[in-house]
Amino acid sequence: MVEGAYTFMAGYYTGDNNLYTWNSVAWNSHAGNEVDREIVNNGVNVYYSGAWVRANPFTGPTLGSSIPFSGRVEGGNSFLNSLNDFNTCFGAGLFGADRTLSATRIGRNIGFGLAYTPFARVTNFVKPLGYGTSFVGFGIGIARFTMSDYSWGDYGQLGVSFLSSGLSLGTVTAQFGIALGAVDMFGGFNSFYNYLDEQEQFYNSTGGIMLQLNHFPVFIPITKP
Amino acid sequence: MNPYYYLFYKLSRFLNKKGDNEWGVIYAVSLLPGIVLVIGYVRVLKITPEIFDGGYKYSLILLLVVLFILNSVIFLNKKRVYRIMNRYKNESETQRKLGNAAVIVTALLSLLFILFA
Repeated sequence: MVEGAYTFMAGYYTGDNNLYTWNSVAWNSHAGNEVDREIVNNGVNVYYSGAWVRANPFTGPTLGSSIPFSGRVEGGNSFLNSLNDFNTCFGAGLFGADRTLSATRIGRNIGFGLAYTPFARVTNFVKPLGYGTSFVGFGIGIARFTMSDYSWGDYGQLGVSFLSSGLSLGTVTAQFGIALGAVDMFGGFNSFYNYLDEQEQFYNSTGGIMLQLNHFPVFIPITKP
Repeated sequence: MNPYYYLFYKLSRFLNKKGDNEWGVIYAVSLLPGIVLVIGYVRVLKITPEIFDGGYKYSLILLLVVLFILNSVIFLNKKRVYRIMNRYKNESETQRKLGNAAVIVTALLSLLFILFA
């Protein structure tokens, strides 16, 4: 149980599949409540104003957020930290009726146990799908490199595969790695690989590469090792 | 000692310190067998770029998907993960260093395998 002088705004979101608008309810702006969260029966309850209520940002009315915050507390209450992040991102006035936010952003930032919201079931599915796609993209990249004649374009593709994989391993960078892998798998970097191959041919015949610098082609000689 | 589980343990310690990156670990664990699978597939079947985009590509995708799903099933099992983490967490300092070295050597060998296979 965490105690503190938090101000709560209660309400729920309404909207379509893309944009949700916050609707305040009458019992908002309480202060000095105890706060906690418990996960029960595929849902999340929030201890609010002396009672447990079911938290659901879309079918409320339930707890929506709390303001003001003194900042994220590492190792502190994860629920409060989630709400804190949300307010840090969007400011204390985010729950005005004129604000609309995507469902994904609401869920991600509020940090309610997402498994019980319809859109969250989709995002739960998307994450492994993204990693799987990136993994397959990496495999295809390795296969193409193994079959290749080891041209510059092939090394470029291998580099993109490694970069994508490396980024996919990190928590924060995973989305970039997954996106990079997906783009590569569908041929998004083929023109870049072709460009590298052309540079290799140019290098083999002239001993240098041609770069476009400031709209002018510049010849850069490279000494062979 | 199951080396595959030990690899998972080491990668978890490195990539999933806060417990919010389990998919990153599963991805990382899948890379090593994935590399061996892909290179073995291409070399054993003597696949060339000309014929790869036919059925071979889709067969390889299927194999990779199966591998990833298999790893997901194995390492999303909370009981199994708990058992793995508990089994190796009490390793001595020497064992820890040897383990780290083994994982690094394995990763480097995988990279060399790609470049020189």
